[in-house]
Amino acid sequence: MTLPVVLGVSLAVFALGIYGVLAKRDILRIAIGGTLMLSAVTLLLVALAQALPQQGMATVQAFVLVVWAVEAVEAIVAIALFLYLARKGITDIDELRELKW
Amino acid sequence: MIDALLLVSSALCLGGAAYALGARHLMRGVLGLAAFFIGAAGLFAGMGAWFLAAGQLFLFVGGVVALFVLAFSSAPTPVQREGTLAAACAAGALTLALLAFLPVSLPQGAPLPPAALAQALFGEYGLALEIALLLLFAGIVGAQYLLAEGRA
Repeated sequence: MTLPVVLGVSLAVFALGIYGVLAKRDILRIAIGGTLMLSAVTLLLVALAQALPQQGMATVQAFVLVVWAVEAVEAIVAIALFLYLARKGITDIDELRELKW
Repeated sequence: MIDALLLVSSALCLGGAAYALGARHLMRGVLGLAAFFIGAAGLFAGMGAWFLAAGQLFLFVGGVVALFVLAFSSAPTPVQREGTLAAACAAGALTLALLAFLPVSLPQGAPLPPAALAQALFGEYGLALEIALLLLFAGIVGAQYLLAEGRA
């Protein structure tokens, strides 16, 4: 009963993240969806690592820290993009049809 | 035995995530995101990963959420037409209701001393860490370039 609960929570959060990335038109909400997906994966990894010995747990936790660095980069770039586009008056991601604005 | 930490953390995770995406005002959505991170920290702590739980609070609640809030001081907060506070509360309440009737607890592995994590991170996986930090540096430089004033 222990792992299925964390598995269910991770799966639900991952599904919410996919919904956020695909259905939302605001850049920051898309970034939040991506963050939710990455966080769900880290939760699941740590839950599955409970069955591993200490060395395996250290490996998983080190991997989670690397994933966190990538999450931070995603948030930074999304916020910078949001501020840059807000200066130009663009708020809907559907308006971005060219590579240069 | 009902694990109160599991109940509250799971409810915070699901309710916070739903509210983060569904809130009408994104500022409130960011508060939902903070609730999700707190719930995730609770789950990490319940599984014995205390370092990750502390890191989740410091880095994400204290860093990423604060970045979002600072961003809203420079630009108008996005507003979407429909809010889903009711859906978020329902997600959290449903989680609580389901877990209250299940004999569940968090999986507990062998406790990992921080020294072992540091040895793995800076020893065996030092290259992966350096690449991730380089990516972080590139992201920061890119953000600075995007936001530099006076650009055409």
